[in-house]
Amino acid sequence: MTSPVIASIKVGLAILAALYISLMSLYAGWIRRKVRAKVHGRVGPPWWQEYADLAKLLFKEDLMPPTANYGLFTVTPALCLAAALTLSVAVFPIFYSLSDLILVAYLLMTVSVCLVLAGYASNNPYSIVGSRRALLGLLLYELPFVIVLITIFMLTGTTNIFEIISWQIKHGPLIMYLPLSAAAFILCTPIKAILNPFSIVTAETELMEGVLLEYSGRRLAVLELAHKMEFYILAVLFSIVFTSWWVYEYNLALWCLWVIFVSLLFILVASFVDALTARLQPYKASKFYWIITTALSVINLVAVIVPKILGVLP
Amino acid sequence: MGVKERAFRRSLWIYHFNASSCNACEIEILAAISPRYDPERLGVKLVGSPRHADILLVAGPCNRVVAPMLKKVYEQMPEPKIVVAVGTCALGRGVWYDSYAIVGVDEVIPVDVYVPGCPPRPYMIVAALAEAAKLLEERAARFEKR
Ligand code: SF4
Repeated sequence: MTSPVIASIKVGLAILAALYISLMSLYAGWIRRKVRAKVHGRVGPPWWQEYADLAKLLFKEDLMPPTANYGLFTVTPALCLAAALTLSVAVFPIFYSLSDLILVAYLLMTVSVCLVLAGYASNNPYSIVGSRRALLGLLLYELPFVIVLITIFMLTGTTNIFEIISWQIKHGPLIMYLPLSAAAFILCTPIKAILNPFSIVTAETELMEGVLLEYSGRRLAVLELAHKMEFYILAVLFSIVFTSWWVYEYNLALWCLWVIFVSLLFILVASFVDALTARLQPYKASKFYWIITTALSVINLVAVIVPKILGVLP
Repeated sequence: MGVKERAFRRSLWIYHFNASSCNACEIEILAAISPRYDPERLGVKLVGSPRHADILLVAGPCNRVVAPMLKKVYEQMPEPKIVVAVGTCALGRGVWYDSYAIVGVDEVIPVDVYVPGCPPRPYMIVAALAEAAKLLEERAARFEKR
């Protein structure tokens, strides 16, 4: 297994995965803008709009606000991008030990925490409010998200993405056992990716981009990219864990196409919901998450644990 | 034309500043970014922070209270940047040309593109944005990051 050829192929695949996620996440950002434009009855931006935006930000002057904390202001964007890149390698089953749901959960949290720290580092009243809301968001979605992961672990006895897929090949699809958990996972996406109706973190109209307010140039580009990658990674994670078992045993190339297809479908649906809904107030969003999403995930956890104890489930 | 100029030309992030305008110019700016004209086709995006912006849209004559704020917002924008002054007020102080309270936009910050009219038509604002894109491209070619 550990011959140098296989190892180098794997490293190549990992670089490919990181490249794929970073390019595709910008494409997903364009899908979001285009869907919004279509809903408004507009033409919308051309497909390379997000790439042009990123290139422009990279060429722009990088300003450092005098009130900001220099160290944090510089470190958080880099850390955020590093976490997102590691995450993009981890979601694909390339390295056996790296593609682990616990690691994925932690890295997703790192990206969000970096955004929170970025807001606090810039020391602007608006971005501090944005950071507080981002922390509230963390409180809201981490609980159901972790419960979903625990449910998957309880059912399959593993957190490794390889093993989860092979478990599904043996015992049938995860989505059949865990429909409510899958629903809770989907419901966690909009607040994690800051989409309507739960875009309370960077509420453009009242917080002026919230946590990203003071960033400009390169740092803004990096933070935006990491944030978009997080959104796309959630879509990829969903498609790999919940939908891709049947092609995995079949054909690996087909499996890649399937993952791309399902993740883009996921993005399309999320963009439609984003364009068609208005932003909820933070307390209403909290109510929704703490009552509905957590309840969905807990019900499914109980529905897995009880048959496990009784010995009905494998 | 290199990647840099092309990127600057097709990605215009706008920050809109109200320098004591009567709000009619604001309404026309909003009409200019409405679905009818759809400047997002050209890469225009309205941003909430001057730190993200490439273009500063100023409307109004700019009185003494607003002038320091306008200067501050201009200084907060990263280079390269373009200022578009919308409306007769911003162009030559309009009906307030001899008022003691008015400073004038172009005496506070350097203005690159003027849009005449009280208020100007939305398509004139879109044309001004196209002009600003051209200027921004030229300025980007000359701009070297420190
Ligand atoms: S130019 Fe006319 S419409 Fe515009 S701010 Fe001045 S008075 Fe109002």
